[in-house]
Amino acid sequence: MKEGFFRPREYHRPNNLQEATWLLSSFGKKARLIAGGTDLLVDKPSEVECLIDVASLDLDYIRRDGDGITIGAATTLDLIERSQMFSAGPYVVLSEAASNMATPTVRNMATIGGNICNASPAADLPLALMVLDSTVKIYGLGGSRVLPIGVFFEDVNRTALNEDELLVEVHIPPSPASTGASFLKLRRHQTAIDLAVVNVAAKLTCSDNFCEDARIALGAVAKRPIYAEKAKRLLTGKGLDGKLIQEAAEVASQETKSIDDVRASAQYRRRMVAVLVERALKLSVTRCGT
Amino acid sequence: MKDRLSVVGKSVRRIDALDKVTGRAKYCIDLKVDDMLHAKLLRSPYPHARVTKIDTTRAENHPRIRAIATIDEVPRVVGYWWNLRTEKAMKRMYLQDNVVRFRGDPVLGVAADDEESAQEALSLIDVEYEELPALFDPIEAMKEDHLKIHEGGNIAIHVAKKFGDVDQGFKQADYVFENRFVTSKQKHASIEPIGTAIADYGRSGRLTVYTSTQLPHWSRIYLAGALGLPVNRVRVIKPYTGGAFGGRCGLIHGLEVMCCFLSRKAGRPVKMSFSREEDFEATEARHPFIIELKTGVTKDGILTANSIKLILDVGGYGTHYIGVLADALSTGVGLYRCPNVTFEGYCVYTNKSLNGAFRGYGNPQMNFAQESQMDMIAEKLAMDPVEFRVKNYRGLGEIDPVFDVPIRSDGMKDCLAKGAKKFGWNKKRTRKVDEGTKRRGVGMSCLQHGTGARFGLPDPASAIVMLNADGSANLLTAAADDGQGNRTVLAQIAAEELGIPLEQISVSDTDTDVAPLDGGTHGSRQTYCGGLAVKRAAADAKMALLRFASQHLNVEEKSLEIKDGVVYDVKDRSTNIRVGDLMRKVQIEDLSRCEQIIGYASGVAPAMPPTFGAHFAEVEVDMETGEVYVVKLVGAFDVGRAINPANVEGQIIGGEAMGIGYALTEGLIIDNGKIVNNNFTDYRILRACDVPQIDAIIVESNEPTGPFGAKGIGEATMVGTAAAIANAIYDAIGVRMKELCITQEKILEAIDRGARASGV
Repeated sequence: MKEGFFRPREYHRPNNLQEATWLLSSFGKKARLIAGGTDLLVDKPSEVECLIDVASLDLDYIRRDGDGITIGAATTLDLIERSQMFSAGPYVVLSEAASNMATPTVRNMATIGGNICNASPAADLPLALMVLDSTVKIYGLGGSRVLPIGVFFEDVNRTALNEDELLVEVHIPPSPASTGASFLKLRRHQTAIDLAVVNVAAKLTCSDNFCEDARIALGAVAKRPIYAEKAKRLLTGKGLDGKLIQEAAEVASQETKSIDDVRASAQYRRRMVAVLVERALKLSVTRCGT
Repeated sequence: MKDRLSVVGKSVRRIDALDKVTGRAKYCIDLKVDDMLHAKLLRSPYPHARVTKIDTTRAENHPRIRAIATIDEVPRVVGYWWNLRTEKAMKRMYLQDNVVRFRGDPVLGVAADDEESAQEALSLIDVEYEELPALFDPIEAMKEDHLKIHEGGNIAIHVAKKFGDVDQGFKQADYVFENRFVTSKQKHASIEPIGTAIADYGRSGRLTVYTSTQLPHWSRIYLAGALGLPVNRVRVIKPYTGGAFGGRCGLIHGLEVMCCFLSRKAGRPVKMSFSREEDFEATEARHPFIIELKTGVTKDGILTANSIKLILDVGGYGTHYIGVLADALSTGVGLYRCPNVTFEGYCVYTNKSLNGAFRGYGNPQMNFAQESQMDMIAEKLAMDPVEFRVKNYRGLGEIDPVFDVPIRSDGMKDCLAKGAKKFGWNKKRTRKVDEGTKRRGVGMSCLQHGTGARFGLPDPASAIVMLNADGSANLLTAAADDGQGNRTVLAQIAAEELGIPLEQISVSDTDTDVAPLDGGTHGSRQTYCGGLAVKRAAADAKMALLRFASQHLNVEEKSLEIKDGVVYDVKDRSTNIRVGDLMRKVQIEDLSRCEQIIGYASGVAPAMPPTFGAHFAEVEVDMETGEVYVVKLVGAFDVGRAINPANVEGQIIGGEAMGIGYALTEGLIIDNGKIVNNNFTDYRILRACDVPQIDAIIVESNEPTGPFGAKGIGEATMVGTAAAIANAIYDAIGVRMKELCITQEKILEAIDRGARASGV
C-alpha cells in the first residue's frame, strides 16, 4: 500500500535542449522528464516536485540519412510500429518489439525515449535496438555525447544519464545485406498484453547458412538487458545447422542471471531463454535471404 | 405461453444503460456529502501480533485531524446473516480485541479534512506491537494446539456428514480412484475496487451509510448491531456498483463500521476509499481448498461410493466459510447420484487475508476436483465423458439428499447435447493426435448450482408495486444490482405481470428507507427469488386494479386481462379501458376514492432449483514453453427461462472468462503473509483481448416454481470452466493438472514428469 502522494508543484515546458538541461540540473532528483507519461503517471513517485515536458523539444521524428536511421526520443511506439522504415530487412525487429509492448492506447502515448530511460530489465524495445547496434545521443550541460545502447543500461531503472542529461535520439546504423533479425516475447499464458517473462532479440548476417555475424539480446533475465556474448561467438564464422543453433541457445541461457518473481521462477526463465533464442535464431535465418 | 409474453424473453436494453454509458451514473467513489471528512486506515505490518500500545497524541495535535477510532473500540464483523437467527449468534458476530491477524489488518482509522492529512496523520501515530508467531499453512494450523489465532482454536468448524455406507460402496466398486487437488486464492477483481463508503451519523442519532453492498438490508442490521442502534435508525443506500462477484457480500473488513465510528466521533460525515492494493491485500478472496477425493465405480460406470475430505483456508477472520463448505457438499458433490457418501470438512484459520463469498461459493473448487476425477474415471472405463455424466448426474424428479427436495426442472441433457454439437465434440475427440510442438486438446465438465439459499439461510425477498394516475408503476425493491442487470430483469417481470409496457415501470433506488427487506444479491437469486416477489407484488396490484376495472366495465374480474396497458374483456375486446384512464379515475377523478393501488409481497421462494450447465474447452499447449491457450469455449446453461437472453449471454461469457482466469492465471501469491501480486500488472485477470471465442448456449427447461419458469445463472457460469480446461490440457499432454492456477511452469513440469513416466 502506497505512502505519500504524487503531487508535483511545478510544470515546465522548455523550448530547447539548453533550457531542459538547465531545469534538470537545477531541480536534481526532484525533477522528472515527462513525455507520454505511461510509466511516470502509473508509478506516481511522491518525491517528484517538478515535471519537465519534452513536448516542445521537437524530438518526434524518424529520419533516414546517409548513415542509417535516426529516431527522436519523443517518437511514439505507435509511429515506430507503423513506420515504413521498420517494415523490411533486419529493421522489422524494432516494429516487432514495439507491437509487442503494452496496448494500442499506451503505444499512442509511450515514447521510445521513455521506454529506454525507464530502464526496465524486461523492456521490449531496447533488445531490438541492441541487436541493431544502435547508439544513443545524450545532451547535458557539457554538450552532447554518444553511447552504444548496450552500455546505457546500468541497473534496474538506472541508466548512464547524469542528473542534467536527457536522451535526445537513437541512431541505427545500416546493416549489411543478408541480415535477418527477429524479436520474441514470452508472456504469461492466455495474455496478449503482459510484461515479458522472457524476451529475446536476435540478428544474423549469413550467406549460404554461413554465419558472418550474430547478435543476441536477452531481457527479463538480469538487472538490465544483456547481450549473449558467448552464444554470439559460438555462432560467428560457422556454418549454421539445427545443432549449432540449439547449442548457442543453451549457451545463451547460461549467460543469464535470472531471478524468481511473481511472473516466473529463475529456473523456468533460464530454460525459456534457450527455447526463445533457438526460435529467434531460426526465424532470423529464414529472414536473411530477404 | 412463450408467444403470449410481451417483455419477458426479450433482450431489452438495460434500464440504466444511458446513465452508465454517458457517465451520469454515480458510483460510491463519485459521491460527496456536505462537510464530509476523509478517512484512512493504519494497517498492521505484521501477520500476527498483539497491539500493546497506541499513542495518538501527535496526530491529535494535527490541525486537520477530526477523529481517530482504534481497534480498542471498533468491532469487526466476523459472521454473516446465518448469525442473525439468534441473539447469541448475533453477539458472536462482533469481534473486538487487540490482536491483528493478517498483514494489512486495520489497527485504527483517522478522519481528516482531506485525504492527504489523513495519510499524514498515520505517520504521527505510534503503535507498539507484540509480534506473535504466524501460521500460514492450514494443515500446520490444524495441528497447532498452543498458538491459537482465535480463542476457540484454529479450526473454525469441522463438519462430518454421512449418507449410506461407504465401506460397502467401495467393496462394490470395480475401480477406486484417489486423488488430491489444491485450489488457489482468487480475487474478485471487480472493476470498481472493493472498499468505498460514506457514513453520516446525524446529530439526532440517525445513521446513513452509502456503500456498494450486495446486502443492503443485512448490512443495515449488522451496522445497527455494531453501533447499538435500533434498526429503524440505520439507512443503507447502495449507489451504482461496478461488479461484486461475492466480494461485497457483507460489510467490508475495516470499512463501513470504521466510517460510522469516526463519523459519530467527529459529528461529520466520513468517506473512506481503499486503493486497489488495499482491495487485493485486505478484503475477502476465494477460499483455497485442499481436496482429497476417493471415488468408487463399477465397470459399467455406476458410482458406488464417494469419500470427500476438504480443508478450507479461512484466513484471519471467518465470514462465509460455513456456507461455502455446505455448498461444496450440496451443490458440488450433490451433482451426482451416489448412494454412499462421506463428507468431512475442516475450516481453518490462518494469518492471511480473509476469504469469503465468491461467485460459485465453494462449488468451483469442488467441481474442479470432482470433474477432473470424473474425467479420469471415464477414460479408465473407455466411456465418452459426456455419456458418463448423463449416466450419473442427479436429474428430474430425483431428491437432493442434503435438502431432501426434488429436482423439478432439468435441462442437463440438453446442455450436454447442444454444447457438444456446437463444439464439435465427437469430431474433435476422435481427431488425429498432434505430435509437434503445439498440441491441441479438448475437455468438458458439467455442473449444477442451486438458486438462492432458502434451505440453509434466511432468504427473504420483498417488493412493492405502486400504480400511478397515468397507468405507470413504481417498483420498490432493495434487490442490489451489482452491474449484472437484475433491476432490468425485475422491471421486465413487473411489466409482464401488470400487462404494461416496460417504459412504464420505474425501479427504485436501492435504499433501505424506501425498499422493503431483501436477502441480498448472492446465490444467483435475484431473478428467481427477487423475481418471484416482484411477480407476486405486481399480481397483487393487478388484482386490485381488475377489481376497479370490473366495476367500471361491468365485466366479471376473471374474464378481464391487461395487455399493452389496456384492460379488456377477453370475450369482447371492444369492452376495454386504458390502465391510465382507470387509474386516474381511481386516484384523482373519483373524489370519494382518491386511492393509490399498492401491490405488495414478502417471503421466501418455495425452492432452490439447480441451474444445470456444461462447459466444453479446446486448448493448445506449447510443449516447449508449457504455455496453454484456450482456443474455444462453449458454455451451455439451463436457466429455466431467460427473462433477458442478452443478460444471460453476458453472464455466460463473463463467467467463462473469469473461469479461464481461475484455471490459468489468477491466484494471489503470498510470501510470508504478504500478498506480492497486489495489482493488475502482477495479478492477471483476462483482458478483453485475452478472451477466446466463447459460444453461449441458453437452454430453457421451465422451472415450475420460478417466475415465468426462470432460475438462476450468475454463479453457475464459471463453476466448471477450470475442470473443462484442465481436462483439455490432459487430453493434449497426457498428464493431469491437479493444482490451480495452472501456470505454464506447472504444465512444463507436468510434461517433464509425463516424459519421465513414459521413459522418453
